[in-house]
Amino acid sequence: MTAQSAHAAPALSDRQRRMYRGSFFLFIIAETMIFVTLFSTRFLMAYSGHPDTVNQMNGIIVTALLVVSLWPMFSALSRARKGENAGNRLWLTALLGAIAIAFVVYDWATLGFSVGSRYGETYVLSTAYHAVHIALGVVGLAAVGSLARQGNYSAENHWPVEAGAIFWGFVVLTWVLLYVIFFQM
Amino acid sequence: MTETSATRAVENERGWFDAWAPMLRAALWAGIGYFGASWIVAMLTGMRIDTEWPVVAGYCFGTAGWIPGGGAYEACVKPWFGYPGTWDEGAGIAAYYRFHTGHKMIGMQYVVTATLTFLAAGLFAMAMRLELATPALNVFGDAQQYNEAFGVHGSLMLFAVSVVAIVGGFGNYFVPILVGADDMTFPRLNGLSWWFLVPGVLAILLSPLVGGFQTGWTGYEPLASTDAAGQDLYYLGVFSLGLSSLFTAINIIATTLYMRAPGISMRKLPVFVWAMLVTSVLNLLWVPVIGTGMMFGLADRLIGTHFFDAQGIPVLWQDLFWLFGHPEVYIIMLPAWGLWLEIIPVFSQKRLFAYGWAVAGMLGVMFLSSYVWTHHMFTTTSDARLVPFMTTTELISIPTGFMYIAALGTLWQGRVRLRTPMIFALMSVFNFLIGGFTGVFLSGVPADFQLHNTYFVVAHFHYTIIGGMVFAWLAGMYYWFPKYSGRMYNELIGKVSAWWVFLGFNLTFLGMFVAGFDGMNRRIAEYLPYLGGINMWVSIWAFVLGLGFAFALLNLFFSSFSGEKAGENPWGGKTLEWQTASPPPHGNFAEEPVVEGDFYTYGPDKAAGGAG
Repeated sequence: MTAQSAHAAPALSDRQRRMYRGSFFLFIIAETMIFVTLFSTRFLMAYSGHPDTVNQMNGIIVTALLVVSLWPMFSALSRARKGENAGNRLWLTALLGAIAIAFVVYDWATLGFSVGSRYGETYVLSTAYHAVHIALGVVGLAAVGSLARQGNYSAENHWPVEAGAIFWGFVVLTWVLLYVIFFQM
Repeated sequence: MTETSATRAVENERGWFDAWAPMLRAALWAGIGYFGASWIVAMLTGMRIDTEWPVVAGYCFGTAGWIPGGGAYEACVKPWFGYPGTWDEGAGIAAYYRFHTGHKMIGMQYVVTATLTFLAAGLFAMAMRLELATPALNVFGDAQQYNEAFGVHGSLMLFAVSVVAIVGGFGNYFVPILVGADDMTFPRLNGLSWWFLVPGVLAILLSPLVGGFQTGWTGYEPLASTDAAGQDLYYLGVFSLGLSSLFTAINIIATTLYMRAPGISMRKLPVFVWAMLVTSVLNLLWVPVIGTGMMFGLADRLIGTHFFDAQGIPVLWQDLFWLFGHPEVYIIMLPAWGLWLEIIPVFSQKRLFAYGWAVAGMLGVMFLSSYVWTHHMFTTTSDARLVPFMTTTELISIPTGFMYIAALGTLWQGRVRLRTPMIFALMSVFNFLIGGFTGVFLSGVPADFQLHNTYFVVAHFHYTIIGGMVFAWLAGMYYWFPKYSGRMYNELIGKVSAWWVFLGFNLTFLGMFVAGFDGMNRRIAEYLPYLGGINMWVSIWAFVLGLGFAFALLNLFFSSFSGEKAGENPWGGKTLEWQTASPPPHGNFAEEPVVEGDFYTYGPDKAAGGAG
């Protein structure tokens, strides 16, 4: 770590904060279109219903890990809003995300149905796309966490923490939808 | 890599090697990434190096080497992890050959890349016309090579030229200036977008080296799932180009919404910016859909899924493709309409007619364009979808007509100056009328059943894309040339090249309409001898057209070195880009502009500087 990075980022004006939030929302719209495509393809290819061999326990574990990870995430955000150090909580969020990826990968390795089946192909593609998003979130939160530990953020400027929270909220929400669509329908 | 301005001045004197050093490093890292990854995968799997897995791994790691190699490592990756960003953006000509965050540099990177891609893909078209000059196969080795040629031509022209040249080039360069901003909202994201463009172009251009793809630019299944490894490069290349478009779209929307100078309300926004905003909304919504479709196709070939082959739903690919593919047609045309309506008032010296209607028309096209995609699939889809999509397709000509109302109303009783940009713009208006009217024919289901897959369709979409978009692009290249180069082009050569291109274009593609009516199918290398005459006609004029494009672009190339110095405002334009130096300085304006009047008030009562 170099010395320069200990400077806190300059305060954001209201206009800048609006601009960053609005633009990040554009990014979330584009991401939403990806999952709209994935989920509607699942119903086009395989209608509703799922094979009995789907690993329900694994699905519940991943869902639980991701939902629980919302707590350190939003706790980190509220600390950052007060100008307190949010680094450890961001790292905890990233850790829970990384464990969730491990369970998803384990699930692919022990898949109870064929990748070539109509349900299987949409399942694998959707979980893979989602795992990429978890991974992006993990790398991003880890990076933001290490910057937060160095004291880069303040109550006036903690935009990266907020962006991480929005993205992570999106990732968890899409997983819950994915869980309902692939494990329960 | 930390450099002060003093060492930078020394470096500039060290010549071309230092100017090119970041690009060379990018190429080196890309080469190591590509060949290293594909060789390792080939070793591990025992596959040949030009087969699927090695090619896919090579492309991914090659791109992962190329982008940081050009400077994104120092400029983006290190700051993200808390290290100081130490990237030197260079000065003078060297700034173009490296990762750069200035919107004007990025705009020019896009313009030059799109122009070179246009010429490369044009050469493929010339080879195809040489083949089609005679009925027998005598230029290409076999019909598969011909298929690869039109696949490369179509994919590059659609995904890397027509959706990139105006949106990435002029959009990046002029949207911030037109709204009075100093740069885009996210300069680093913007810098990255161009670096995704180049691997996409190269993947498609070089795909014949690993077997090419036989499907043409539409990638229809199930042929695509049995094709050579070039098909993987098609999927990955289009995916990269999509990322590039997506980054640009986010930046353009954010800049337009949040970075406008005081006094520019949405009701005063220049029409070109409106067009770019609407285009970017379409990009934002539909590029992710085609990207996901591309990944489905790739999974079919790599991990044994069956989305689109005979066990899956081949027509689902067509739905996903055209869900993006038809909005894409308007992603191509909306910026061109913006250019018409930007150029015509300046050279008519008259207020833009029906500004509100033009904007309403753009929004109408934006909404309707997402509900017309099935008209590409009339011969493959269910009967229940025919009439609804025929209706929406015919409806979209109404908001399109608003552009004509605005263009013709502005010309009416204007004091028209027929300079080269105006000539190109008016030619685009004329050509797109033919393209649009023949589109109305094709939107009718009975006519489409007859004309589907013939050269009538080929002529129709070349009339909209070359006739509409490329002519408007050339109009924009000539219109803004004094601004981005600081020099004036040669007017006589400009006018000659405009008429040369216009003549070559219309004689080529009117001939294709005739060939289509006579029964000439598209995507065939050999045809029945009775079609020989019309095909020879088309080929001859196609070569004339190709030379004309080269002539028009060479005029700009040489003028950028030897043209006379142009002032700030050679055309007497009222929009903000003409109120600053040519080319604009870093930050665009000496101080943040404040706009009081509106941009389209011309006339004797309000003297426009330099008009005459």
